[in-house]
Amino acid sequence: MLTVTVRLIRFVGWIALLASCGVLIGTMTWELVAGFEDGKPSWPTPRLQRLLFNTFWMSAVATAMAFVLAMPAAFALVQSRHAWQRHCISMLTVIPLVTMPSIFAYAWYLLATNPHPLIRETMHLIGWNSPGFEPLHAAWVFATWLWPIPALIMVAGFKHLGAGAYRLACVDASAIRAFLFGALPVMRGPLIAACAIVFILSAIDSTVPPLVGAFDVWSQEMKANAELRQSSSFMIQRSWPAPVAMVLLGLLAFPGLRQMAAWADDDQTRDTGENPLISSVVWGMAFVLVAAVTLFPIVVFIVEMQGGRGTTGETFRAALWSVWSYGRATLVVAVCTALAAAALGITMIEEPSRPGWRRMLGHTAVGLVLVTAVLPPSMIGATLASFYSNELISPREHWNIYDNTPLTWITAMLARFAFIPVCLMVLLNRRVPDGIIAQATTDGADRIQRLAHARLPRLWLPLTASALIVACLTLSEVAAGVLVQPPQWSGGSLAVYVDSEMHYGRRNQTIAMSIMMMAPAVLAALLLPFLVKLSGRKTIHGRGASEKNVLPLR
Amino acid sequence: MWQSVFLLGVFWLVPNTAGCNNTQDKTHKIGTVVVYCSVDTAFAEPILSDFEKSTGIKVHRQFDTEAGKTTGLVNKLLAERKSPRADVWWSSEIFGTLQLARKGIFAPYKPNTANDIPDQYRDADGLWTAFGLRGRVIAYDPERTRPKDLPKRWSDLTNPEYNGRFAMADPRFGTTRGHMATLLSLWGQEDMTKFYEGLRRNAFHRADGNSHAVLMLARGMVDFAATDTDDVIVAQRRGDSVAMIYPDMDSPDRKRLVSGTLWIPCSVAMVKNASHPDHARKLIDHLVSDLIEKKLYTSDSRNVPVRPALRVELGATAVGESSIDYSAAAAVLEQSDRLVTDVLLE
Repeated sequence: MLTVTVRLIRFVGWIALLASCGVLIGTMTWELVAGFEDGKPSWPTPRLQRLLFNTFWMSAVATAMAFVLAMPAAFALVQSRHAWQRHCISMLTVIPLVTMPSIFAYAWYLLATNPHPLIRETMHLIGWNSPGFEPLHAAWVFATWLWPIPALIMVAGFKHLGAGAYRLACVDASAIRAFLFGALPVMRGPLIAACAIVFILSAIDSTVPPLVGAFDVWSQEMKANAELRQSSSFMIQRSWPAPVAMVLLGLLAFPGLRQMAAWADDDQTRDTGENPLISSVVWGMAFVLVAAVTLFPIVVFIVEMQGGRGTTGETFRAALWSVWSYGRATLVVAVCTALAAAALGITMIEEPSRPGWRRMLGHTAVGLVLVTAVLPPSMIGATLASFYSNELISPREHWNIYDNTPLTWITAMLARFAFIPVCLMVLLNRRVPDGIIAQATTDGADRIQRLAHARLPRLWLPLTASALIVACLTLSEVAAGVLVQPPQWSGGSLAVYVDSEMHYGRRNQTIAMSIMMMAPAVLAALLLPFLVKLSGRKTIHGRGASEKNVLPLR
Repeated sequence: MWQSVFLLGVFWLVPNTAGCNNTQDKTHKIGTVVVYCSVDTAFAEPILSDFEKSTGIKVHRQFDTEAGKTTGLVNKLLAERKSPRADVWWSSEIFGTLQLARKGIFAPYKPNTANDIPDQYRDADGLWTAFGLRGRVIAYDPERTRPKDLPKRWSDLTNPEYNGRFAMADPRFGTTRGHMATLLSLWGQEDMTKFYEGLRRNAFHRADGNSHAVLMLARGMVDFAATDTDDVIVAQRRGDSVAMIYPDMDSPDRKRLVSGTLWIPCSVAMVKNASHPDHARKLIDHLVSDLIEKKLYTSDSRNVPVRPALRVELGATAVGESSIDYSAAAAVLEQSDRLVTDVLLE
């Protein structure tokens, strides 16, 4: 029975891949082959050059700031004395990753428009309301959203690469100096990959810049182009250097990512660099910094709610009604996307000894998923909407997939986030002990039976964790979601609604909805470390991946 | 792999060929109407909900965002002209509607509830009906700016004294788009080019939308914001120190004097070949009724009614209302877009 179910799931996984990433890349290729509407793409105009320049330095500053924020968190994570200390920071690390980025921007937006003289003066003092610095403000908001990426990569890199150098450096340097100048340089490959990821995510996000007033950036132009014409060739024609830069950056990240992928195999080299551990004071400082950055929006929202019009109870009731009205449809889409992404993840689990054509197919599929992940969300939304609304595919006279189902919306979310379970499954699959697979083969199990009975039981927990992340990200996705909402299917996107309301300024109901939008992230933060811990126990020879003293250090 | 291809085929073919015509006589479609709406969600949502409650007809809404206001949905309607998904178009302005009417997107329908609307706000062929005006104004902070420092006309914004002090939404979208097209139709290309060059020279700040331009003003980032009356009223209710003026639309060289500012009505139209024409008519009847005009006036949006009787009843006035030919402005929309892209934004 399980084998049949797994076959069915893999079947669904292939469908999901073709309907999302396959359709997206296929349509873009078709449009490009068919030619551009207004002649060939030309060298960027001075205005576009300015937008690209702004985007470049905004993303570069965001990357640098994210690293600065990530370092204390990473340091505290690898050097905590107690498990509870690590769990606290782990939870705080997860929250920003699965929170809507505009939540962070909205918190700053509220502060920037707060009429209280003290806050007004403070904001003026730090230059927040000074014209000309908007890309810098956007960079800071991006950093507060994206710092967990370099933090987590630093932690993993430290365990696999940096710990030895760190211990050596500790002979004649303090713990912090040893971490900064001993461990970090050894981990440069994965750190470059982290840089590229943060850079790409800051460059393609179109929700944060408008809330801080940074309009002269490329993502805003892409958003405007998507509103003007739902065509990827139109968007590429107008700003081709940016997608090219994103792909090049992706390639730059590739060696680091490969290095990280290899860690899945070299479990024996895993090293936590136990000594010397940091003092409670240093850990406390790191914790306060991480907590301040992560919980900043919630604190701002609660304070702002107190000063607003109307009672808190009434506001929350009204907000809850809006969340319920829009959230139902979004929740269905989030659950469907998470399930489809999990199916896609299972589809990508293959045996190392598979035949050549199957290996090539697997590599192509993973490549497809990775390429779509770095595309701007506006381009993803516009391309998929134009494909699925085509009369041939969705004839208006009949019930059809574009008007009457959320399929277009789900495929757009898959194109954006399916890389998470796919990458996780491809990497963790290597950690399934060969002995178990060999035993299953000896017992006469075929390929699917080995997958169902030997591999999946060791992978379902990380798969669940990644599906949970995909669901959270789908709940908070705006840029592609706004372009792919079905005309005749119940309800719209909650995130699009909340994001849209944010642009109308300080409204208690919007603030209450923003607090509610953080609930899934907090829930995920509570669940994920637990799932990761469990999955570590299941996956790696029965030993916990996230526990201390997994292997003897010496 | 072949399995996937096969299932993909099944996935599309079954629903698309197994009956289920999108005509009214099919059970699953009874009580449904699709509206593309660029009116702010906060104002449109209660009106559409009331319609659903009173008629039992389910309204599927497609709203847009503040940044892509109206233009996104206008282009969506144009893209879908061969197979329209929407039944009703409810716009927060009129210029996009006129552009769509000119391109044959709408079907004629003269709602009975609009008989008391003046002719200038109704298409002679019944392609669209307009109501609920919002004015184009310049917002300022009365605590920071003295009355004598205020611009008197829109063209004054190019004066050196306003350098770096002015914010405006992207003129490719929303009411700002129609406003710029109106100025182009009044002033001509040469003066408009000079105006845009002046705005660029004065380093105007581009905002995400009209409400955002007001927020930039409230944050103290600029001293003046081109916006709509409703955004100022919402900001005032929020407690922001914001006031507004109604500048004249005289041409920069003052050769052409147009006193007063632009007041833009909302507009409603029925999409040609709509899937649910009867329900679309019912919704249009509801939207253009005097009840809704009244509701819009009493809401935070404060749209001034176009019905003279209603204006008297509510004591509403469109301050500084100028006499503008909307269709002349709509005729130069595309020319205006090109000028914005080539001169103002470039």
